[in-house]
Amino acid sequence: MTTLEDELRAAFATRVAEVPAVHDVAGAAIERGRAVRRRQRRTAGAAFAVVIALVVGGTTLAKVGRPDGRPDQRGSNVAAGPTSPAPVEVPKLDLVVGNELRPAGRAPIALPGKGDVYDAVRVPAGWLVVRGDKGTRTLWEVRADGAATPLIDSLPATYVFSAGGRVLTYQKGSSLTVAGIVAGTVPTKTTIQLPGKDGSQGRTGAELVGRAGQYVVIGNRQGIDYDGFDVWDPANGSYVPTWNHEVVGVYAATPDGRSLIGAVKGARDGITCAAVLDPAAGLRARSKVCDQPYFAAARHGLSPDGRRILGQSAGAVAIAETATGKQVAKIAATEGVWPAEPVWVDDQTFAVATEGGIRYVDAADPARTREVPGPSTSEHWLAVALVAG
Amino acid sequence: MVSSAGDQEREFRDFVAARSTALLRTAYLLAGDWGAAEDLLQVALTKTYLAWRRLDGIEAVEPYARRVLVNTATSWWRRRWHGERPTEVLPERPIPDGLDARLERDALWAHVKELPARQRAVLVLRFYEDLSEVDTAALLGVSVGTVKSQCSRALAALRKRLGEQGIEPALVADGSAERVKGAVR
Repeated sequence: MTTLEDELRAAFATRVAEVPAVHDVAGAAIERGRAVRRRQRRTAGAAFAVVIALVVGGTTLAKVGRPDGRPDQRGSNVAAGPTSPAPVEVPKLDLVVGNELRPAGRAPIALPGKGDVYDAVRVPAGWLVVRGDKGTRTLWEVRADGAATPLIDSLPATYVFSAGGRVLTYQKGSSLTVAGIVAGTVPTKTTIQLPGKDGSQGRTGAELVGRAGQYVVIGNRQGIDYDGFDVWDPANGSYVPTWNHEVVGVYAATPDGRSLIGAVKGARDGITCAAVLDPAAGLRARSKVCDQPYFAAARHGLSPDGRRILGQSAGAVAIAETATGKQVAKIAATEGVWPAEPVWVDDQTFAVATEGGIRYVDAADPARTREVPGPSTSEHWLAVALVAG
Repeated sequence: MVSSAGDQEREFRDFVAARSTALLRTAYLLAGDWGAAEDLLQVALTKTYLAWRRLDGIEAVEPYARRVLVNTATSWWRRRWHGERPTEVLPERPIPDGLDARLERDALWAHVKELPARQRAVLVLRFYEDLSEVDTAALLGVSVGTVKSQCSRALAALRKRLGEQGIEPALVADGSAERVKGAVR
């Protein structure tokens, strides 16, 4: 007798009947493991050094403190030392843990709806929360008093918040919609049709990628990759694609809002150049910084002040400056993998979930970090993001 | 396992040589594509390597590696960060008469990939790894009741979606992969 369970067994066996060759996974795991141990030793060593510095420094401070008994600030700085930078202050970060929102320093708020919380962002009116399952996700506006309003019942997976959470852009099938979010309603909508179609292997053709300033970024999806990018200004109404096939990514607007930053193909395969792109000239590159590793911008990667953008690059969280697109720093994961995207906590500091907790990083001085335990080891949790204004 | 660092590396390499293909197969079924599966395997093996000294005997190694594999695959955070793009509307597929079993299994696999990761993991552990409900619950760190309910929901979702395509696993006596077509529940 054939049942669905039998069919599953057969389908699973069929799918894995042939296994691709993998190159020295043991060696790679050992290398990564050694790197983790080196980092752990460095961290332990640094922690020990800080303890020693505090003990010694404390003694020193007592000796060289001011006559009024207050500690000598120069002594403190010396104790902190350039090789053991002062850990970043832990800023206030709202969290979602299981079924509740935990605003920093305030009472938890029970979240409406059911299912996983996929996304949560801070907005002036409170929070926007995306919750549900893969097929049916609802966008909720949750206010500080706990009142919640469903804004959109079937929010597609492809969406992006912009303008401080006041604008929502989403794609459903070939329809691309830009909507305002005002006082618990979504009153204004502009919808256009994108060329392309959805098939059993995913979408082929135009696809919403993100927002960059006033522009909607659209990629020309072909298989697993994009073949060219374009931007659309909703203020102009209709949309006719003019793909720039040299562009491999568009991440954000420059701080002055006149240009965009992204990446273009380099002289050799696999090499990209960070570029400042002209949105009025078909994304022509105005300037380039080459030999940059591929950068995948994080969903909420743009800093509140618009000066930096976070993304993933070669397994690290990378910080790129929005004036040039150049990657200026990387933060490697302790366990060799980042389980979550980073979110900004303020203009200067971002937070990223680690395997065991939350790491806060000073974007201007990424050596300054502080890691704290996560809020739960048994429930799903996520950090609430700020959306650049 | 009391041994030198060199011995441990040799033991680890022996373990990987013996079991990485099996783990990669499970990783593929959990992740849905070979690239993500290799990534999962790397994470699982790295953590296994780091934990090698405290794992109590070689028989504890594989369950540990498998647990890391499954828990990493079902981490919602990880799926988001790696850009999983769930399909909102399941793709419509015309099913011509006489479609062979392979194509129907492809359809079943496509629907399995659309299941929430935890439900998919339960199916893989129950029907690929052939773990009992008790062992599945222990590996996932959930109750047996949760395994039962997740499995039941997953199977119901698959039946519904296959039914919408006019495919239904047949209750036939000969054990072949025949289907009753056009029967929509």
